[in-house]
Amino acid sequence: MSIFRYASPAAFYPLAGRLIPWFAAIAAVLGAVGLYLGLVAAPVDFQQGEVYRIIFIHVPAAWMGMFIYLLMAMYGILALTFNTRLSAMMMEALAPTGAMFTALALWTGALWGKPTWGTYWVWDARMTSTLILLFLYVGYLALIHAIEDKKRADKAGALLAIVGSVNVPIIYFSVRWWNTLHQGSSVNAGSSKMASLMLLAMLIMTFACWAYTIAVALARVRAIIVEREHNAAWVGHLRANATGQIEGKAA
Amino acid sequence: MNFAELFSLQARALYIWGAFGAFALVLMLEVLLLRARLKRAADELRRQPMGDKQPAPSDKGMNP
Repeated sequence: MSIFRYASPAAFYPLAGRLIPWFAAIAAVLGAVGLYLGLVAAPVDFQQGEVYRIIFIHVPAAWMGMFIYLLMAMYGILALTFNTRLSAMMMEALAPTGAMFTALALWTGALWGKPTWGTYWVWDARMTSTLILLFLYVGYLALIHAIEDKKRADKAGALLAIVGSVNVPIIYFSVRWWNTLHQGSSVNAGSSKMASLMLLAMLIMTFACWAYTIAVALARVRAIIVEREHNAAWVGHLRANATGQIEGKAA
Repeated sequence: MNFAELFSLQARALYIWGAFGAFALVLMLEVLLLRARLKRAADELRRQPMGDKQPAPSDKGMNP
């Protein structure tokens, strides 16, 4: 059996339904462990005191905002080159969660910035490029909902996601390329400036956010599949079997 | 640090709990909105007459 079979919404729909509870459970367990390590077990930072603990949600949210946009761009490439319906649906399913994490990164960053830098916001490269990322998410969602013809909307959205992805490396490298108020990367490939327990808590929270994103995106794509393909014969069979299957697997 | 200390962070508490509280609130809100969307999709499908069905554009994942 080919994995490409799951590029079909009809084949992917039940698979997504089976995966959602697993990823939701992983997210809950990792989230609980990560919060315990980050809020209780990790030591106080010698410079910033307790307020540094915002890092355990700020960094995962910022990473998720960037990763999800890159994932959307990848699905955009698949949608444009192979014309796969599911790729466009996955983009639509991921975008709200990506926008949410980006907004949370900005919000938590502002609340961390005030006690440490003395300001909620400055127009420095890292923060401005992250704000642009939020605008790209909002722009993508506005664009696909503004165009009535779904095929045209998907193509326009895919193009925006691909073009907009150039902003992600700008966000990541902004602290190296420009002189910014924002601190440099705490974690680089193969090395870290953080204490091991702090790093562990941050990574666990990141994996929790990943699992949460997968569960939520799978649940949302199931709703999108039903909304878009409600006239298809296989969706009709679903209804005949059990409509509760559709709403019963929310994250 | 224990939980009691965690809830009495004095002046910094607003920043820390403002960040963690917003994070939890927004995630919960997303899940609730998603549940409502799935319910709407299920209701829509339930309302649709059984005869109103067409074959899927393609079950091989490609648009026609």
